[in-house]
Amino acid sequence: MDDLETLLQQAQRSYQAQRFEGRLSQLVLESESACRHPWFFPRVVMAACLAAVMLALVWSPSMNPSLADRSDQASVPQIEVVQQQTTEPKPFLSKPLRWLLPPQGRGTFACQQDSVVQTLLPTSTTSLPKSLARTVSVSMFDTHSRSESNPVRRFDRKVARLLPNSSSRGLRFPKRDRFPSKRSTHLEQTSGQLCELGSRYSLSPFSRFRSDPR
Amino acid sequence: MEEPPNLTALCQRAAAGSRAAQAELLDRLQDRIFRFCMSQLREVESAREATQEVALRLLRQLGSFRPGGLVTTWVLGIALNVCRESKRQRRWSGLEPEDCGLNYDPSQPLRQQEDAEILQRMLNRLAPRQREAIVLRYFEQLSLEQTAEVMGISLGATKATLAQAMEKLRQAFAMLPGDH
Repeated sequence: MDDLETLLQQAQRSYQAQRFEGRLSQLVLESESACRHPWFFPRVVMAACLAAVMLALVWSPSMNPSLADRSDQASVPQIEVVQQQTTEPKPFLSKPLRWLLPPQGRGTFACQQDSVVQTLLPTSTTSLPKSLARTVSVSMFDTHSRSESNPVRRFDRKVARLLPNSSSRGLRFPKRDRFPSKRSTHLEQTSGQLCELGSRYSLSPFSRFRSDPR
Repeated sequence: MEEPPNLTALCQRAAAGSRAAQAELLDRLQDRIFRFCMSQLREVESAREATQEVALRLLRQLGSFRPGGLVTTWVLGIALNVCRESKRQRRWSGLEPEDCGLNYDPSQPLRQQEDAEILQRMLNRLAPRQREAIVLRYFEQLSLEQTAEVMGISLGATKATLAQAMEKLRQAFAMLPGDH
């Protein structure tokens, strides 16, 4: 027998000396018999129902307006814009931006254009021709897809044909030195506002307006 | 390993629904279940919780006990499953203890306690399956067949696991400094 086996025997004695404190039958059988008691399950069900009702009352938005405000803020990002006519900031977009994004379909997209323009650009549409305002607003959503099947691109191209200095590949903003027109100045002002908006809300599509006007 | 007397008959009476037999069965097995859980989980509170879980499962599964088998190996099989589940949960939650010692018997000489501590440290460095095999074979003193039955592996795999574990222990023992 080597030293290791002697050591194992000694450790075995230490192992056998360990005892469970208390009586296992008392711990297990008593709790089990309590669970088997005819009143146990009705009590548990009643307690669970009561707890659910209490929780519902505590967390109900109508009972706690501050919680309701907080939960609204958490679920729906509020985007506010300072209106030119009024001094008070007024929220004009009550839904997340992605809800306004058109679905990838030809017909449904066209139906949503007006609502997008009117919802998102209540002030800028007043100073722009409607077709241009549409293009600006649609270009804001044209985030990453460059494929021809992208309905935003299709719409962009379609509207761009109506504008001067535009090509069929997409909207081209006129350069100031070449075409110092009233319309381009207008567009710059509006795009400036949009850039400001974009920087305030970190919307990446707005960055196009900083680099694109040439 | 010899089965304690009347344990099978007690188990059959407990399976028939006798509350007294169930209580007696649990009281007779509690130390054995606890020290096995302790050897696997290396923490008193976890071992106590696991012991109670084993007892509950034992009561629920009394009907599945085969009269020809040994009660001890059947119970140790349940305990092994509970310990494996508990270790898995602890690993996921990042609460796996490192080197924890045994509960030493204060009546033993200090030297023997030190030796037991050294061995426990060496055991802690074994793979989980190897540690299970060593504890069942040498501490619970099961036969090779019983060890294989509890671990749910073949006899050959049990022998191989034990041989690898003993080899590792010998290597660790040879590296010990001093008079070992």
